[in-house]
Amino acid sequence: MRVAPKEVETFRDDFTYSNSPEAIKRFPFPFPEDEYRYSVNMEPHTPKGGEGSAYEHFLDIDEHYLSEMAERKLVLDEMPHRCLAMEHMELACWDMLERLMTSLAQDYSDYFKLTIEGDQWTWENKLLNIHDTFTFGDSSTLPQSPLEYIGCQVQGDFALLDQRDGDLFLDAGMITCPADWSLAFDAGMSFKEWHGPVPMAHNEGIFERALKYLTAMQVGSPIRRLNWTLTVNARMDTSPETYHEWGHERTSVTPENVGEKVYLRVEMQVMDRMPRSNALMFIIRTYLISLEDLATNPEWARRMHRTMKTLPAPLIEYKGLSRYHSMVVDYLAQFDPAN
Amino acid sequence: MSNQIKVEVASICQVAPTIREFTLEAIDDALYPFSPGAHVVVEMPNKKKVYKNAYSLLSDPTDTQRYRIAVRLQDASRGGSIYMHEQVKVGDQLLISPPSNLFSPLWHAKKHVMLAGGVGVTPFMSYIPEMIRRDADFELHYMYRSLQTGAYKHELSEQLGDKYFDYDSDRQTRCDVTALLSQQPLGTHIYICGPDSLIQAVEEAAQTLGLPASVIHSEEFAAPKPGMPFVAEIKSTGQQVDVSAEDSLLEALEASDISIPNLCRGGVCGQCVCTVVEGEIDHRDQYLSDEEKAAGNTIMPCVSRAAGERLVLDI
Amino acid sequence: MELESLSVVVSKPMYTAEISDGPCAYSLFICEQLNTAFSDLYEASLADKKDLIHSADLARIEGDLAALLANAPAATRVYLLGTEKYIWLVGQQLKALGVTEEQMEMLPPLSAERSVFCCHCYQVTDQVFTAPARCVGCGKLLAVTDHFAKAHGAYFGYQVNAEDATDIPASVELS
Ligand code: HEM
Ligand code: FES
Repeated sequence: MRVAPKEVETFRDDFTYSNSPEAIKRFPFPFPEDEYRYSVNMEPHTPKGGEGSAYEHFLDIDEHYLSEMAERKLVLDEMPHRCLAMEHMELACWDMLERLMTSLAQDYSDYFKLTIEGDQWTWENKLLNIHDTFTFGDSSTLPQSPLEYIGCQVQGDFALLDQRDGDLFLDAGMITCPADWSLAFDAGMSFKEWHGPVPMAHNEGIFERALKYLTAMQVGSPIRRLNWTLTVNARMDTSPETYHEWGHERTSVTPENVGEKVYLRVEMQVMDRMPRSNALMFIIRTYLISLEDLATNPEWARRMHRTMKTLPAPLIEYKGLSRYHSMVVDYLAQFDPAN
Repeated sequence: MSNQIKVEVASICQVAPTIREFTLEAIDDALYPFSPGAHVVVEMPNKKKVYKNAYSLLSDPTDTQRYRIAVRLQDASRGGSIYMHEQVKVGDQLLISPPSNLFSPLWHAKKHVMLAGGVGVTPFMSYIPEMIRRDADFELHYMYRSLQTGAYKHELSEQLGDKYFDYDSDRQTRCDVTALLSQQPLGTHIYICGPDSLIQAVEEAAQTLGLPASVIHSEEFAAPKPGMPFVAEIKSTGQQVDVSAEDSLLEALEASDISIPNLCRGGVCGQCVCTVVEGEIDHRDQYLSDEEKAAGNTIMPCVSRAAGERLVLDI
Repeated sequence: MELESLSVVVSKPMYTAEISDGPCAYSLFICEQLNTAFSDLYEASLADKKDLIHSADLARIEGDLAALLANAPAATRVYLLGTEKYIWLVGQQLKALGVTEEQMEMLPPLSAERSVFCCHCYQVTDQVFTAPARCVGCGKLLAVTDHFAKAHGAYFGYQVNAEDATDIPASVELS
């Protein structure tokens, strides 16, 4: 059984966000080994884990759907420029809208319905009470830009990369819950440029190989990879834009509260080739779980202890964990019998 | 590959003495829309060897009911074109890959100059409708031998008017590439699809004149290099695994219940690495370093193959 | 967000004083301040046609470029000298007119100063020689990283003491 969307919870202020036991069970745990190093961890985005798993469908709609859509609206109301599309990305935005609508309607027919009659499209989203008819390809027939319209109905952040001369360029996106990077600053950059600050991986040729793979990707064969970091409190919007509001939370971790205050933040990143524009769509679907909840699975807790304990110093620093990393390791040690 | 699309040959017509056009229609689902410059890989079932050739799509990118491709009859070394010309009949079914595109126009260009040699006009057939829709500044320079090629020349000439230039080497008209390039304004991008000699001539002229290499584009296909069948022997058990031309070594091992850790299945992640104790390797991955490749004792079976008839794997 | 102590950031541009002087039909020299090396370079250019723009005024340059490049040939080469922000912002104008990065020869910036993009208010603070630096837009004290955006001609900056208001690192000179 798939978990149904529940009432709106918050990712700020009083932080009422919580995971049900089912959500904990289906959490996409990111560590395949006891040591974590950067690697080209990309694989075909094909279903695994069976019914209800986070990997069951192309897009994962889960119990946090309404909460995440409400949070996204708060971010965009305050900072509309967190969503941008350069002029030449218009067609890619329509490609994306089509891909998301058709897959939602197919995989979640109880919630979403798409009716296509020539270029007249009718879209129904029962979760958000949306029912619109528009002309495919004509932005003036939608209440918002195609990127914003569909982006506000799907969990996860979105980037659209223009492919030119064997490279990818960050020319459009809706980034409301990033792990500390700014679309406004990175807009227009190439694959290696926007990855500029990442330590270690450049020298190991990781980005070169990943880029070769991405530029050769075909329509209809999406791929995925997992990325992770730690976040203090269940805050979705850990953007640089708001860093001055949440940075201080990193000093609020204590040995007593670390289990409930520190969250493992996992991004399931899905990459998919867009047919009309040849752009690449990049979905960053973020999952949050408190260490306390994670530790209800002894295997995860043990593994996580080992990965945290052996995390290279440049990664600790880059991911912004320096102030509380040792408390995380100490907390998790109790779940590792080897200790 | 599992994501192939089954199509039916709806019509065939001769568009030049050595060029045939095939219209391929969807059988099960609608076809993908595609971007100008895209190609598909057509798989031709044959008794001995499966041919896989890449062909540019020349239909209008928005038509999802049918794709059109044009095939030039080549000499025997490229068996696929002979097969397409001699074996394929209307009503036959073929397997094609989804479209991919490594030859997209750069839409921010101030002007587009397309240089087509013979059957190399095909990718531009999908550029042109979109360039017209976008009201882009462009020219098509079409070089052919009227005794063999020159497909679509009349309709192109009629449709494009003074944007169209043709050169028929069977009538001694030739294109002076250097003169052509030296007339181009700043912001022009040049696209070439044709024989290597044409690509080379343009690249050399560009270099001599001082045009940046990044404005010169020539067509590339993402088609898998053709593979020959070979045998993989498992050292620990002596088991012999036949690897057909269509399957990767990894797929063939999996089909024989030998599981190899893997992730990307595309030669970049490094998960599937295997040790080779005997046999030459045809390395096709992006993962191993040049030194590792030269050492010749490791292989990425998701993409790489035997260079000869046999490989012995240390598993 | 403690980026500054990390090794090389790939987006930080590198410059060499070695100018590649290939063939071209038109060469354009643009500088914020004219020095003898640059005017020698201009004098020595063998292009069929050449021009020199000496101006610090980006709006004026934009107008000049539109006029000069309207009929320029594909084989154009542009030489740029100025502060780092200047050469990249002129570079953006050139790009919009069809000049590729390959056609731009950027000389090493005239000084070590940086422009810094504040990720909180999106304002760019110029003439930054030391870090942390005060943002001209929102007044926050910014850490200055090596992550560079060509579109802004500026480095990424973020509030240095957002985690602990009292934790302000000693001022360092930028290079
Ligand atoms: C094509 C779409 C992609 C986009 C838009 C994207 C974007 C980003 C961005 C904006 C960052 C943050 C950089 C910063 O600190 O400012 C990042 C980090 C990173 N990216 Fe990507 N990325 C993409 C694909 C990939 C792929 C295919 C890989 C595969 C290896 C990869 C590996 C990484 C790694 C290792 C990091 C560091 C993450 C961390 O430690 O938290 N990225 N990416
Ligand atoms: S499976 Fe990734 S390199 Fe073979």
